[in-house]
Amino acid sequence: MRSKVLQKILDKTPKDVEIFVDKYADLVLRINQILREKGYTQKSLAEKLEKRPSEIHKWLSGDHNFTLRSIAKLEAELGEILLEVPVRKPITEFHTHYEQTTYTFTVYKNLTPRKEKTEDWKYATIHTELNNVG
Amino acid sequence: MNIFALEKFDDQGSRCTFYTVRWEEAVWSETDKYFDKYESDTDFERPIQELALFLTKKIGNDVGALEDFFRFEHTAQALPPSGKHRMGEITINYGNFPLRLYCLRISDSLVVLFNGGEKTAENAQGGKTSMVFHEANQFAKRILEALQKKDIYITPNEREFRYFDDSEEIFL
Repeated sequence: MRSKVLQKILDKTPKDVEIFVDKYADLVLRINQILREKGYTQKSLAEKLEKRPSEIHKWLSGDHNFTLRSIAKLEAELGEILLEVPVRKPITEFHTHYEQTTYTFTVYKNLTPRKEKTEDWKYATIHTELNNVG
Repeated sequence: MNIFALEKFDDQGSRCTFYTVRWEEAVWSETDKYFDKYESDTDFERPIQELALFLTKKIGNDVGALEDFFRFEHTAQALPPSGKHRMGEITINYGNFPLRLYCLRISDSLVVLFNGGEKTAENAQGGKTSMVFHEANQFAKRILEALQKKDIYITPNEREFRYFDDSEEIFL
């Protein structure tokens, strides 16, 4: 079961909110995971980044708007990729099943038909049978 | 403190079940009141949508109630058999998130939601939410005591509470 009030809110929620929540939560989890793996504390990270510990706490507890700059600072210090943007190759690809074909048409207008040389009908000559063929 | 029901708020996710509390005579649970209060407020429409999705999709269905999402405001209370349960505040305060929602995190797969309010002070106990925070602590204390006294228990898959007689209807 699900609370009707909760469902009503979810039904009205636009797609961009879902994308934001998804990406933000993933980012917070990723940063915390790397900090644990590398043995950082909030205090030691603050010292490395020359920030106040309270500011780092805000970053990590989510009480902060991440910017590309703050993410880049963290990536540089932690030596890990936090955010990856898919890149497409900037080239044009030809599809093998297509061909480029050029047709040239010449159109003639108002042409009078050419007179062809014709032979009149003639009666065929009747040959007599040959008697010497045996 | 009067009697309240401990009942399900959302169990549709594959990773975590959310419970809530409802006063015996009340129609709505404390968490329903919280969401209803901000649902129709244009200043909080977006934050409340973010919170609803964060609970149902990210915690409920994707990763569970990981500790990284919670800000713990109270002393840990040891509870047999499954370790420590702490009163927490769900941390969805990215980008200066303006709301608080109090909860008791039992495990990655079981969370009890209470009420909350607007964040007007740095810590959970201060500002406009101090009364609600106090009440949430009282709810949490009663639930933890009931677990310790074995009036209620947590099912082996850690997704549900049951009354000692195996009933799903729980009043504390």
